[in-house]
Amino acid sequence: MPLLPYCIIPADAEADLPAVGVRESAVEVLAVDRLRCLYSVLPDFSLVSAPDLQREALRFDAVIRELLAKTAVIPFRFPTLLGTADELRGFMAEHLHQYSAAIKRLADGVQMELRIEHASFATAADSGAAYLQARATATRALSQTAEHARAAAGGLMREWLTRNTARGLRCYALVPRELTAEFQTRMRSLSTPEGVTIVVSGPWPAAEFLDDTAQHR
Amino acid sequence: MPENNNVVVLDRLGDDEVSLLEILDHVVNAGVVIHGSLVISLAGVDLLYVGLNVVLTAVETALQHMRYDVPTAAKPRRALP
Repeated sequence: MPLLPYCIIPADAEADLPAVGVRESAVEVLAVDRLRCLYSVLPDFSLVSAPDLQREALRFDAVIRELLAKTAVIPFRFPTLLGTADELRGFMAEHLHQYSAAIKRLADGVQMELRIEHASFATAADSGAAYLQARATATRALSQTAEHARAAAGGLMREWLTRNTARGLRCYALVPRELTAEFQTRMRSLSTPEGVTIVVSGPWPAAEFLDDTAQHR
Repeated sequence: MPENNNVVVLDRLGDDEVSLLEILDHVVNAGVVIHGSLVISLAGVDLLYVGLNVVLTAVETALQHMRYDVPTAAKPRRALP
């Protein structure tokens, strides 16, 4: 029967296990050395509609979020299915060193995100020159906003990443769990240039701060 | 340069459509990928790790034609070298 893994947490995590997960199935634990992997056995897993997918994705997220409130979490992508517990155990054993190091490094850090967008990125220009001009202006505004946000976060964060997106920038801050409210407060007070919007979200598992070997991209 | 305060903080995730999309985007696009895991196929399209929009589109396509369940006895793919 298919197994759906949720995430990896430290073996000594002081967190109660969520009672139910995807498809209202029990959440079970696989212990491998210093790590635990939480998963559900799904005898009947089907995604026959967008609402099904949405509902089960939210249940998956609820499991992750409940654990993230108490401990470091390395999530799997949804939906990941494996055939047997032995496959999952084998995967964990093969990557034990990478995930143990990642869990230790992330410790009590969570990921806060800023989606910084400029209205002109979605607007068609009348001419190539006008497009380039608008794009350059928008790019400068986005970069300045990201820098201001990073400065405002200051000593709250351990690490900061910025990535380009189709509509602007996405910034990720690794923040101690207990400082997420302060981070949100500082972001609320940011001023934004004309046309720039910021959406702040989190806390999320610090997936962006896993190195590529841990994410297996 | 004129300044505003166009900042939205989603501090109660899941309460509105914007935060719902953020959640769905994260669970589908962020996290560990396991090579060799089972592939979920919908309407003949392999959907191991794809963007949320593609997943929803493929689901809608499948709905137009048939009901499709993941076979419980499906063999896993060979792990990539």
